Amino acid sequence: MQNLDRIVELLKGYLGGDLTADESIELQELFAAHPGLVELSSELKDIGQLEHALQDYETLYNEDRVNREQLVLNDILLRINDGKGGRGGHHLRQNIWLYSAVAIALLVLSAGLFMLRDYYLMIPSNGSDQLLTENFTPGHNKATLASSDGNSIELSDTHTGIVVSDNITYSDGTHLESGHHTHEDTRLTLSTPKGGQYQVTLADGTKVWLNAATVLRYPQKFGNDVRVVELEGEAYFEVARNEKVPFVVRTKNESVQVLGTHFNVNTYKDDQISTVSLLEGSVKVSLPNETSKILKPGQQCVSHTDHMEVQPMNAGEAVAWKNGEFMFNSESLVSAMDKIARWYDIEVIVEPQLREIAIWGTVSRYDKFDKVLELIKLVDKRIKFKVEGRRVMLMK
Amino acid sequence: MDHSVLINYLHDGNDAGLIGVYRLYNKPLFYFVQRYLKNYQIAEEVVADVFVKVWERRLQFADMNRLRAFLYIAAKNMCLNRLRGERIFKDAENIEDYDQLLTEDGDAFTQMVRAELLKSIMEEVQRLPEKQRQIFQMSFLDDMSIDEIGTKLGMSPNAVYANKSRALATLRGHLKMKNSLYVATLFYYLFR
Repeated sequence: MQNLDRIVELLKGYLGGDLTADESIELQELFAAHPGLVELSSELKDIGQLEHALQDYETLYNEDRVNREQLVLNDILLRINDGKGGRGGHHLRQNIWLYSAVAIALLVLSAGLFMLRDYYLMIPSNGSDQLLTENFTPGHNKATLASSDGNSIELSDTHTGIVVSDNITYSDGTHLESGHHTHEDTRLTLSTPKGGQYQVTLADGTKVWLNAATVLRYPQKFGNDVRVVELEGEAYFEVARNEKVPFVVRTKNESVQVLGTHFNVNTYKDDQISTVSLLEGSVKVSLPNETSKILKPGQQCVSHTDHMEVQPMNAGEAVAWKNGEFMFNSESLVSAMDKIARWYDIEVIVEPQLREIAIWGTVSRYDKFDKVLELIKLVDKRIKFKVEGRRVMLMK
Repeated sequence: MDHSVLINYLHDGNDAGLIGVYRLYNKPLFYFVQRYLKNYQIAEEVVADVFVKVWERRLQFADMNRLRAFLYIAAKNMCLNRLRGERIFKDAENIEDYDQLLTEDGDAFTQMVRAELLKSIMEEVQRLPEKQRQIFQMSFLDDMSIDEIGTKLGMSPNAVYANKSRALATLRGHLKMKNSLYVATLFYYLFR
């Protein structure tokens, strides 16, 4: 059969009226081989009819249709995994989400993805590139804590997080080095650089995991009517339940109000949009123009400056980073490389024609950069890399 | 696009492959099935059944083209079986036959091309720069008047009415649209 993609390209060219002479000939041959297409093309050449057909097709992108799409997928995954049998010997991460259909699909997904690592290890790597990228180490625990009274300290990278109460200590109880004096009204700022990550337990018991290039501003002690923090970058929250005192996360685009719940907020300065992904509990996302949406577990909300879209989410994907992985599910190459660049603290430039290539797969965040490159090479063998200092360029 | 990654995942028994194929083709397949079975719940069942079959036969697909031929033919068979109420149409054993079956069944072929064509156009719309996408969406969904669209584009209603060809040139300039299909469609909306 003639390549379907080619047929679609020819027809689009025909409808748009910009076929080359050679393509026109190809099209005529196509029509001769498949008379049904003649009717199809003349139908859609009429713009009114095309409008009608596209409107029909567009209903597939409606919220409820997209939700059903996810449910059907979950159903398919459950059915195929009934017959799969045990996987044996892999380590199941601590799971915290309770949304059942999504959770079951996710458990199965993690099992499948571990097999991928063995697969791509077989690809030989390009010797000279490897030397240059040897210095690209993955990120690690690194953050700075600043307080409103002017003090600022580098936090220890042998600890994973800090706990805030009357004093501030590391998560294992050790005190901070430079005798950090704080009082009730102190406002604190925890920030991670590129290549950094850190965790903090706030005064109310809420746990927050910060990804790379992230800033979290919060008070040493919360007030009695509302608990407010500010976020720029990406963080995963497990909010301590308190029905009387709502917890609010403010970002450049929106404000997220929660009662007690587990969710991820992605709101980097360079990105135009923010994404709030809910795993468990309930949140209300509001924009400055007062529109708001309430999310159910398994949903995510993408905020632009003046409107929001609610979509079903792949929970594994949204918090893969917190679990130590990059997970790409048909993500564009440029978006994937942005995330990778932040973590390895490098600059990545992707040639325009490569930007929209879809990336699939999972790789550990703690693997060397070369492993990540191999994943990219797997997707499209024609991609070439050029490394200059800390800058990596991807081209054809 | 090279989909060999997904085929490889399928061969390895990695369901990331099935998920990928589902995300790529479930919309056009659902659209295709609904041309035969109007009821969306039954259509969903058929789509689910087809993807389960893909998984069961995952080792047999050498490339995405063959998998795609199987998707549509198997889906059509299931639709017909449902409509007839009995399992008259059985799936061919040899995957290599599906190409041929697809070419022989003019109706299935045309409906498949239709679904994939609409999918391709919609995907391009989704990938348009934000402003262009908004305007395209506005024309489709929001039934905006010439005044409203003209205001959005910074064109006075008079300018829009007065000189259509100049309006079209301004439109092209504003939106820097290369694909004339979209310009033509927008033009239609502005002046219908």
